[in-house]
Amino acid sequence: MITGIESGAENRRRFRELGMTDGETVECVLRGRGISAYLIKGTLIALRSSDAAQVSTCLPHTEDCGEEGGSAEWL
Amino acid sequence: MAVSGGGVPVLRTGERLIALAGHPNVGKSTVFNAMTGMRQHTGNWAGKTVANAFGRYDRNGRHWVVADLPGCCSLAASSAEEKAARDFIFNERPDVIVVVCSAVNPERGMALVLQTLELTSRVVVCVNLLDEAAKKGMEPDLGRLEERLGVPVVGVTARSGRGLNILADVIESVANDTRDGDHVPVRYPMPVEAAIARLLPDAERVCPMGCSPRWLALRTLDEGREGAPEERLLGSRMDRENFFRRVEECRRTLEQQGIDSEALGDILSASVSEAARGICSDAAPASELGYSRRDRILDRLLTGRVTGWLVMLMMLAVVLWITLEGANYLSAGLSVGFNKLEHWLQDAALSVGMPAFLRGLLLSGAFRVMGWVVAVMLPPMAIFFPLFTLLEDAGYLPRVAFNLDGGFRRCGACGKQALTMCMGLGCNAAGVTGCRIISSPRERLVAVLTNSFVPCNGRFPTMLAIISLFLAGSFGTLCSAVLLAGFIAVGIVMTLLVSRLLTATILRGQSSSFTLELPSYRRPQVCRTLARSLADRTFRVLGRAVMVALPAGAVIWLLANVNACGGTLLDHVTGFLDPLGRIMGMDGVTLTAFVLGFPANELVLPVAMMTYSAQGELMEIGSMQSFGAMLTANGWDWATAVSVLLFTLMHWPCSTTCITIYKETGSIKWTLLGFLLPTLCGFVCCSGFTLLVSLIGG
Repeated sequence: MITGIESGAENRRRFRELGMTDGETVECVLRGRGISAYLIKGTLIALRSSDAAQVSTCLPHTEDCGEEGGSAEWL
Repeated sequence: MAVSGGGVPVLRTGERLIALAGHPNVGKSTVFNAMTGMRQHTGNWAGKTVANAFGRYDRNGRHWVVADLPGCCSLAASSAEEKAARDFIFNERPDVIVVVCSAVNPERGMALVLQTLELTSRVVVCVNLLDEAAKKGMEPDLGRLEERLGVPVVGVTARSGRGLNILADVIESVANDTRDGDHVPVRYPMPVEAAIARLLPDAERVCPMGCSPRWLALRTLDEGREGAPEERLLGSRMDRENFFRRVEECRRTLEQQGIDSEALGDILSASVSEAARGICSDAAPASELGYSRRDRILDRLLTGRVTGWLVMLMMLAVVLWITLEGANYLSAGLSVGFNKLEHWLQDAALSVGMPAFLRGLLLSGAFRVMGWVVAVMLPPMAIFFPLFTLLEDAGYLPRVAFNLDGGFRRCGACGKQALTMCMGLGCNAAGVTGCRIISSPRERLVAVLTNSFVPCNGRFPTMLAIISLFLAGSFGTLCSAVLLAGFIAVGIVMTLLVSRLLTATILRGQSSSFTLELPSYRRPQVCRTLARSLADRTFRVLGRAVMVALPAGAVIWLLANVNACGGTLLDHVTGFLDPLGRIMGMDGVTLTAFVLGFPANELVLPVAMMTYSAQGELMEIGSMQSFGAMLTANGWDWATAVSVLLFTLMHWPCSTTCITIYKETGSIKWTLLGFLLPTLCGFVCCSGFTLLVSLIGG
């Protein structure tokens, strides 16, 4: 679940437009080398790890927080 | 009748303009094709429509012009595409905007719909892909959507044509309805609404026609001056400045309330998202199977660290193999036909008493080259391209880009270059145009300049012929296909290396971020795609054959038969180029053939053939064995073959591609670089290889 986007990120608007608003659920479906694909609002979008790292997430219903690049729990 | 490309058609009196907007990949172009009867290429990956396309249709005695806007995600001007779409809407003022969204994923499209509704109420919502949604058990309640949105909603399945008539009728009724709705699509939190209310009076004074003042207020609050349309549309200078001053005041007030510009952007998009979600949960509930199990497994397979690559190479080899097998059959048939035709023409010319010179020029020269092009060069092209299109339609290409992204990233290039590179496999000129999907100009330039390193399918036949004759030998067509795949891989490696070189030297800069949408797999309409692609490609090559090969053949025959200064002109040219050629491991004739193949790559082999045979016996069209024998007799061996293959891979782009590069970059400097880069690499590689062989050989 998305908790926020790093401030000042150029991609902020782009991410918002893709549907990554706070509270939205996002699932990491595919992992490549430095690029991963996420299921956002029913659409599969591939983001480079450096960009994905700008979005902070946490697991829904828990207190854990982590960077998107690292959460493998949902695969 | 249609105009496609960057130009805007002039609307005749009484014609109405429709703009088609929507996310990438919702079948917008399919709807466009269906409405206008045009055959814009619709591939299954985001960003396919790279230029504004226009089409026309007539209905009920009225004329309509349809503009297909590039897929955009929202009407905020964050990318060049979206800015272009907005500018278009303001400058051309369409009578109706049709927003196409997908029934499979309505929530995403709904956000765009709401934003469009904020701009104007002359909107029709077109819900496409009803068939796919039905397969997934989703059935949007269109009536309810219409209630909630306040504008007509039409469901269609553009692929089969269902619902399109209703769409056209609804469009007409909206166009004729001159009332302006005042339905407010999205309500924002209090502070924002207060700011809007304060801005409305000034906004109303400067607002261009057809645009809602509320929208103008929102956009300028969000983005400042850039959010507004062009200045000249905004009324008098004084009103304008007043308005912008007021906007600044409001923004500062919001900041004092703790909402800086970033937070404002967040709030705006969050409100739109929530409204979209509300509407969809009411009328178009999403199904759990949005991203189906089948898609998931397939994606795992196609993008796995090991399996992804395996599949890619296999796919390439299989496609090439089919191309080769099919082409052999086709060539055999066509060659027989052309030979008969030539004999008949010769007899006819003799009986008419045509002078030998003219007969030679027209028949042995022009016609024969054209015959070679059509009989031998065309079949592989006609088969490869449709297969490639099938893969495109099915949605495989973005997965290829996903796999290759790592490599491109390390070379400082954009991952979308993988896509343009794949397009270059079809046609380099198309690949160069396709580079528009890359937003960063620096990365776009890298992609444009390196596009020619992958062989376009005009070079395939040449490579296939040489491989079969000299390298694959008795191992059959599968071996040839694999070897060709290997050479293409070499081309890809060179693309990466040269990209690295460029980004490390003249095109330095930051790697920009990008997002790649991986559309769901779609079963392509095999027959329709194959037929359309086959016809399209065949016509194009045939056209080129007539326009380019015929004159080229005539020219070569002339060169080969006009004597001057103790030798034919052709001998002079080949003799001149011979030393250079020898360094590269080929001879002057081959090099000359490459030079003369500048207009179209498929000319290279026929020209070489003509030149060799002009110095010897005449050659029957399509006879590969005698061609092989002639090459060997002229000193070709496997090393020559490899050098020639390397040079085919890396030499100057064909004239069409050069022109396209110039059009895309607008500068002679870059076009020259695009010309020289592959050439120099080819020269270095061929010479290097030849040197290596001579060192090892003894």
